[in-house]
Amino acid sequence: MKKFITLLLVLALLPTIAIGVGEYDVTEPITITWWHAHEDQFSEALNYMVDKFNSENSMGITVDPVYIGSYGEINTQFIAAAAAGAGTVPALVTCNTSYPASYGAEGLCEILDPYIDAYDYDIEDFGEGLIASTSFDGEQICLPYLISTQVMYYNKDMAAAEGIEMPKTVADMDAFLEKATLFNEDGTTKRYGTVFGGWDYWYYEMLYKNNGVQLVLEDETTDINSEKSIEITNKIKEWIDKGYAYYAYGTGASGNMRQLFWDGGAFSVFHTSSLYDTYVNKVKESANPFEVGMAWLPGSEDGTLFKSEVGGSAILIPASATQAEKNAAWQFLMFMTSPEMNLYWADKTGYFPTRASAQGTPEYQEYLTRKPAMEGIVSMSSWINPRNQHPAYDACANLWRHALAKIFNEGAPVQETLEELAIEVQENLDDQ
Amino acid sequence: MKRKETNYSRELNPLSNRARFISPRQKAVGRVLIILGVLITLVGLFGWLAGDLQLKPLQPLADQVYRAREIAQSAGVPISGTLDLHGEDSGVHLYYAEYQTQEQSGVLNAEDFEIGSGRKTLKGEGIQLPGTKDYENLVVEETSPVQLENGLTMSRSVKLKGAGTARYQSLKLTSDGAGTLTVYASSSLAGKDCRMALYSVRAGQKVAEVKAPVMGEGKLAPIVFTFDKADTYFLTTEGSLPIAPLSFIMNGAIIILIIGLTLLFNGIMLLIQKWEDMKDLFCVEPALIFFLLFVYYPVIDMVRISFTDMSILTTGRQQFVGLANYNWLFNQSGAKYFWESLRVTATYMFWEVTITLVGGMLLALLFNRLSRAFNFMRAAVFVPKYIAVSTSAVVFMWILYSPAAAGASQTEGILNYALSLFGIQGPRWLIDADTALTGVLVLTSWRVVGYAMMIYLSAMQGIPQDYYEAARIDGADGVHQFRYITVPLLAPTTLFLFVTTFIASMKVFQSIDVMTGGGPGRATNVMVQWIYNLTFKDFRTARGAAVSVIFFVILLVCTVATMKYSRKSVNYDA
Repeated sequence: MKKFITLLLVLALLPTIAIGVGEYDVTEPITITWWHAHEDQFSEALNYMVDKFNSENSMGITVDPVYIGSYGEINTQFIAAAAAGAGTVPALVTCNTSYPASYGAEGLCEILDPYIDAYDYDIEDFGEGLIASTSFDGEQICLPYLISTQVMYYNKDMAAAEGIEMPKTVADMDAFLEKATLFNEDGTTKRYGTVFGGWDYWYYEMLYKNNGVQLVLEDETTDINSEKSIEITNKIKEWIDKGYAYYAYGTGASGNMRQLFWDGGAFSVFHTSSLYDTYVNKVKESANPFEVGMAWLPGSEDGTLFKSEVGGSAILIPASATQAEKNAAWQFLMFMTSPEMNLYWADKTGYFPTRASAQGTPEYQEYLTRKPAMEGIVSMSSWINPRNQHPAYDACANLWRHALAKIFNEGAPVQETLEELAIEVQENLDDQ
Repeated sequence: MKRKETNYSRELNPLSNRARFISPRQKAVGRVLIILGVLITLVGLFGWLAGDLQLKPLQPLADQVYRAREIAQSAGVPISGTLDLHGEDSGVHLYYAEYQTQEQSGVLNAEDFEIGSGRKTLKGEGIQLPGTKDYENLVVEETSPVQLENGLTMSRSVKLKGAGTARYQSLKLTSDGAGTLTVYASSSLAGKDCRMALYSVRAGQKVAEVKAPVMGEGKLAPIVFTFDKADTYFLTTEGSLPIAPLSFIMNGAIIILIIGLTLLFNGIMLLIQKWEDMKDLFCVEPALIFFLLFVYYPVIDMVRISFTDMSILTTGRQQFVGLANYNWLFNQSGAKYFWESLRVTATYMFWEVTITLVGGMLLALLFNRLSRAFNFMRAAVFVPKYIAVSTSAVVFMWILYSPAAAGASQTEGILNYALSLFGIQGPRWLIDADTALTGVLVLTSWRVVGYAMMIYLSAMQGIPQDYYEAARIDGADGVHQFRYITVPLLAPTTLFLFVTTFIASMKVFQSIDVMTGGGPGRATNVMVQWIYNLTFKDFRTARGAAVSVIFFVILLVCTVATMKYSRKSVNYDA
């Protein structure tokens, strides 16, 4: 497989040799820095990719990957470096898919369209949704790199043994949770039916969006206090109050939720598809290993809408990098987003293949035999949508997250809390 | 040893009023430094006024430099003798453009676009002006209508700029083959070298270049560019303005200013101080410069930023907005967050100060009375102060862990487990708004109390035993001795601990950031956390600066008031 990938990469680079030296070509050896957020579990794949590029590119480009921290930390470092100006930014920055909109609005990213034009880079291969997710105002400002979406992980063995079917729509949730939840004799929950990831709004917002509730509407108002929103919130609260589910909130909530799942304390959890490998490996190491299933999020109540939103990483070239750095970064960017590398990363992590051309290869079929759970997710990837690109969305969505924590974890009244939230969200929107 | 007075002039030092002997050479050097210092200070001052302070008369110049810098940076060329001819009075104004190939044709007409601010990409048919950063007044109203030779009369234009294939407000054309691009544009820069150039993206080369016609000289003639293949093309402007030195001056204004002031100061001191004293001064100066540059300048600049609309994402393009940020903070939506955050900070501060003073003193009393066998325990209580906050915060998150859902059969953290042994159901420390701050204070107590104990302990051991002996002879019991001897004589130590703990607790950030991130909701959103969130998460740097300024004033007033009060009430005799 390695030889095949090498051959394809060489072929992919051939056109760049053929067209001669252009504005975006690398003319002399250069070392560029890449700020990323990939933790230890990705180091093998990351080192493989970087080493391969460093040793095989004929332009003398050396990529120096630097782990900065979480997406939030990278964001802080990047905007501070961009504010400081030239000479302080790296040539490449990994960012969460929620950031490009605000970066694009302020022109922090190099616009990639001229590079795409100059190299005939097949951007269409990513599909409409992912292109829109990494564009701003019709311009490509970064590339989809490691893409994930919201999914439900579940215990497949238990599902088979107890005849539990994953919910297709929100309307199926009642029956599902009733069956999937187990109680102790004293009435406390022994096994949760599901856990909502409440430390990030991304994990639950589709339950609302697919049912028509929009936190930020196009006319810069909100319907978070609408009847439907109150109805859905009441429903989730009911599940939580009954002990069917809980809202994992606060620092450390993500780790606690995962631990609960692989210890058998939760039948299913709302999480990101990128952690598929982590879930599978951890469950293998647990006292009672089981097969991990992955299901699409429940769609709208009437079963007509099954949208999800893009997650994971995009990669950008800072506008304030030098042109020589940008050119070298573009070469690496083409390499790392090539179909082959795309499939390689998908194989080594839980991110899924995003390039249509990668999905047609025998390697992809072989990959599916090892990761059968990914097939269902990848086949539905055309339903993945860009995130809301309103500059205030993140701030408003965090207000929403805190309000739901008050409702679910502290017993605050649903309607009043959502009414207060709507006022605060509107203040934020008006304040832009 | 007697000084030789023949080679030295005698002058009075106004600082010490003592006679000084200064060599003519020293005086000459002093005068040269003064002249250099004044000149360099003026240059730095100019850069500061033009750049950071954006003095209105210097604004057009500053705009030119900033835009040139952005473009040069983007194009990867050094800023020298370049390029940007865009600006209120110096740009190329584009009125109309049309292109024609065998299969395609398209038009971009400035009359079709609305005037306003905000980010824009102006699109015609197959032809567009991608807007990126600097969009204010991208479309402008002409002072008088412009006649084009194609018969159109234009009252609006689009400002065009760019360098090479940099795409900022360059006209972009995607063609399917050979063809022509016809534009109607003019430059307001009469007598300046202002050109329009068409670049091919794939070749990375200039295809054609034409001198831009000067604005206001009769009917505007078309400028025709021809291209011979399918490609993406950019029409940009080029020209020459000597902006490199200006860019350097504006970029390094503060450093230049400090160098100038240092030279000026040294020059003056050379004239009034003898060489031996100058040596002492030279030893102090590096530290002084360091403080000026890295402590005082940032504070001054923070105040300046608080009067702008700066976002950390758009540092180069900030505008002065007067008191708008303070208005937001006190009269608009910021007010409720401000008072809430101040309340949380004050609550946290109160408890940290109380725990430090009371806990520290009680422990010091305990360990002051016990034998050397307790040295180990004393060290054990003291050590937490030297463990990294982030590390201990993570450990305390485990200790305080509690399941998110009530009644869940999950494992509790150690603290709740310990409480359960006594039949107490522990709270969900860091999850519930009511207990989150208490949770953080548990960590704080563990960290600070040992340090306070050590400080009190050393102060207690400095109290003469005679006082206690005399008190005992007079019949004072332990409580009275503590009340009338220990506490008053520890007052300076208490004051020291109070002031340092007060300031440190008001500035708490790390433990909150790791343990709660300011949540749940805003239950632990202390001031510094809020400033951090405003600056780095909401990208509202100017608002963050305004909150910082007010917070700085609060801290200053409280500290000064404490010090003033202490002068009257604290006895330093011990």
